[in-house]
Amino acid sequence: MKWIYVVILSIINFILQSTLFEALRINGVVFNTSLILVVFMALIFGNRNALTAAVISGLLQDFFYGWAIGVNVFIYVAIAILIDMIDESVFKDKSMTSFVLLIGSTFLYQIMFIGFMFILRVPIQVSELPLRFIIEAVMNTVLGLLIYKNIIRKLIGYELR
Amino acid sequence: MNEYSKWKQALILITGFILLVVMGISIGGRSRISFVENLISEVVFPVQKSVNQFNQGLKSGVEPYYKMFEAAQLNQKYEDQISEMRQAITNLTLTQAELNELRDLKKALNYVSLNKINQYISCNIISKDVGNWYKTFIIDIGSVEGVTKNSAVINGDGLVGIVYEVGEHYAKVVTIVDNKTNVSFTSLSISAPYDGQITGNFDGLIKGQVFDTKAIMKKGDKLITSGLGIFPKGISIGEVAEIINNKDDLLPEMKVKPTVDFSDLGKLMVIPKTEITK
Repeated sequence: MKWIYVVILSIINFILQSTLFEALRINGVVFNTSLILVVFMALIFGNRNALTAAVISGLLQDFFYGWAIGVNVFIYVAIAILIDMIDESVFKDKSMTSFVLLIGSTFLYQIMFIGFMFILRVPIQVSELPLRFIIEAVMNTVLGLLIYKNIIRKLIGYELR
Repeated sequence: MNEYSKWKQALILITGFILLVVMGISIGGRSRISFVENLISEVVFPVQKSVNQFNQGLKSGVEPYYKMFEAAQLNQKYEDQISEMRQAITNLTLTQAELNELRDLKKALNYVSLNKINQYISCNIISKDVGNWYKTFIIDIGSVEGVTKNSAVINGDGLVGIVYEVGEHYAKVVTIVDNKTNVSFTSLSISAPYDGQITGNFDGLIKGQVFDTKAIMKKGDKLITSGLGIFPKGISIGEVAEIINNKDDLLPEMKVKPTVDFSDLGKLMVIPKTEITK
């Protein structure tokens, strides 16, 4: 995939995530489509595209909604690198792979984000953490699996099992 | 795993270190935004604004049908409220004479109000926070229109939030339901107005603490800004929804329901910080 397409896709995703998807909050939790995008890119389109998506999505979030520039970039890039590291040892055509990666990356995102907020001394509410973790993981995984399945089917040409 | 040669690992470490430094520098909000951010905002925000307007239009088109079912219930509730208000008018009429006397006294003493607010800048929301941890949004006015960092943001119902960062034509607003925001309040009571502080929470309620250990707060007590700190005095914050009975805490705590409906903010107004401190 050409890098310019990844940039455009990341910007479109950011616009939709902050407008249309924002209205679809469940119990105050919204889909993290940027994270889903980074996971897809790392798994299907390779490290370079994943890093581009991670940097663009992270920067846009940090610029306009973040407490400090670099937090989301750091987390998305770390997730992209981690997926790239295990890329050759996973079966990309298995539904279970994307399922585990989406859940794992959502939990990793949350843990790293809380870690950064702790280091940067930004107050964070911990009373509802487990519930929010679970809701976001389920939401990201369900949406991610739907999109992933369709992307694989359309772009690569075989179905997930 | 083997592909990650030493120079790649070093590059990752250096990039990580640079990002940590940038985080440290940018934390706390900036009064001026970089050229790059302003440039990106000029491209992205018009599209976001259009999509958001479409979204709002769709919502306002569908919502009346949904709300029709609640109308009968609301009607009864409003009739009860009208009765209560009639009683309140009677009480207020009695205190009006007292107020006029105080106004005369104020004039006689040549008192100048510190919290006189002359200027509001109206604005719209461009987009809302994409994350799940904080409650922020972007408005369509910035430094060019006179918005400054720490300006109060209100709507017709009460206090909405505070300006955290300012771009040329946009500003980042942190709402009072965000757990990073602290607001000094005073309870709306003639006999015993207690001062305290509220902090945002996840569930749309705000957690409040009264500074007086002997304070007796009750459900339904109205809270307004006290004028201490950033926000001007007298803006409605919310009402006490629940008293938290915790024997370990010396200061009384409570949950506060904000007067503002954060799911439907509509038109907003910004009170520039300089106006408050005049």
